[in-house]
Amino acid sequence: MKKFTKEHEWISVEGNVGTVGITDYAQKQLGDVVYVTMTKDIGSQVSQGEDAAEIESVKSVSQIFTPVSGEILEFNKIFEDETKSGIVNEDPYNAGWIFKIKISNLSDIDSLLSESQYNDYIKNL
Amino acid sequence: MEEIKKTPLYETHKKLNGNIVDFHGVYLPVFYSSIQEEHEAVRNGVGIFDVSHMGNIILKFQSRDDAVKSLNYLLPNDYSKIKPGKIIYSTMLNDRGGVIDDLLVMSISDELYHVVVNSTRKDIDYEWIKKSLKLNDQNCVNRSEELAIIAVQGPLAVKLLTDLSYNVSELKPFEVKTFSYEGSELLISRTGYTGEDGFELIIENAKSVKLFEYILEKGKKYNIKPCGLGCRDTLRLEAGLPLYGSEFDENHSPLQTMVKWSVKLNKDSDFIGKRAIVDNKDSIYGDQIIGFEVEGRSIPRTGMEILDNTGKTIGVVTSGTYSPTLKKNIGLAYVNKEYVNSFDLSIKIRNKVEKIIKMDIPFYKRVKGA
Repeated sequence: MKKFTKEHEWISVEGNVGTVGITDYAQKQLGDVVYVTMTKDIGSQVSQGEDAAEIESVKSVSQIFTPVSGEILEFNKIFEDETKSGIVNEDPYNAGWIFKIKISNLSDIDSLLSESQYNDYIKNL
Repeated sequence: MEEIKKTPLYETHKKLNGNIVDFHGVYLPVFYSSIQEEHEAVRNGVGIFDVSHMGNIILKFQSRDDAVKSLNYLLPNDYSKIKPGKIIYSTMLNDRGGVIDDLLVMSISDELYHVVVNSTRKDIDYEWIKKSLKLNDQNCVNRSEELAIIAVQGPLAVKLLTDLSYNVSELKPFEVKTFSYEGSELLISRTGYTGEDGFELIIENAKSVKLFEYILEKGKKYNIKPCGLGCRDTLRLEAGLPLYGSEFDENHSPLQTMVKWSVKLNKDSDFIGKRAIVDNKDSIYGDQIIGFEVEGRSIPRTGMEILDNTGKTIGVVTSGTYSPTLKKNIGLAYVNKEYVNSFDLSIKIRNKVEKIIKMDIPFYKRVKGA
């Protein structure tokens, strides 16, 4: 099950590992994504709400904030080929995931929005 | 807070699923499908834009001589050779030589001139022109709110408009002609802001929706795309065309920019701002626009700093983008003129410092006659 942030990230959790990406709403707002990169190294510790990656679209740059605290485990290798960056637009919830994180405190999840809460939230934007 | 304006094509943009934003007080689409797709349509086929936010100022003079004299005093480019059907680009300067706006003057007849100006500057321009040329409400008319402008841009634009029975192939670049559409005057100029062949169509608001949708329908066989402001910006930047508020403002002279060619210091007449730009050529106007490419993968954005090889800030980015045509990250920046020819410059992109490579402006040039 996915949880969401007001900054338009999603996280899905298996055990204590979270996979993070941006929402469909976010990719539509950004437009064509041309480059995705981590701003934090693999293995580094990040706190909930801290920037961990960034996405450049033709139009603008956006920071990706980690929805939970923990240790960055993995960056989606697909983005090492920048010509594949458009996968964020095409498939933001699956193949376009951005990074994996080892969650240090599972209760962080409770502070996030459910899918229906997120959908209500973007309706009013 | 002023109310955000809508162009007459607002409902059309919504119908076409445009991603609409408040662009300096006007609701306009940034893109409909994708900036890159729309960009490519203009480079390789044809695209249609609503640029009705731009301003239209009509000037009526006593005679051709009066017009030439007035325009040559008002503007730094040379209008001595203007004649009906011709268009001449210029900046317009304040007394300090700073840029009030850049504009196109289209000669409709010896006495009548149609000036197209930037959206955010139209009211300032109108007052400035009226005051500087001592005109009144009868011979200087701001028609910005009554007229719509539709840009049809790309190598197939000429074919498309010819299909609509407008014989536009007879127009050379920077020429204009009056046609008609459904009984209304339709001004078509061979101009644009994309670096591609194309046309701009000026029509009264009431007819603009029908005309826009008609062109879109007839353009289907050429895979026409409705295009938003996003690709307008990437296209103009590749073409090295300046943007008011980015490369131009009242504190920079056109001699510091890529359009210094349009300042005719040697023309017969004096013009507003001439004294200031001649006197200040080597002093306060010490920055110059350069074009550059970032070596790394990050995209330059407005406001980022340009550094010399010791890390000292010597310039600032005015425009930057990923270039869909060149597949490079390009930008324009004002840099201290002593560094204009330096090969060892960098850009500060958030927490990183990346090398930049100087590039010629324009970044992209279309193949003529293609």
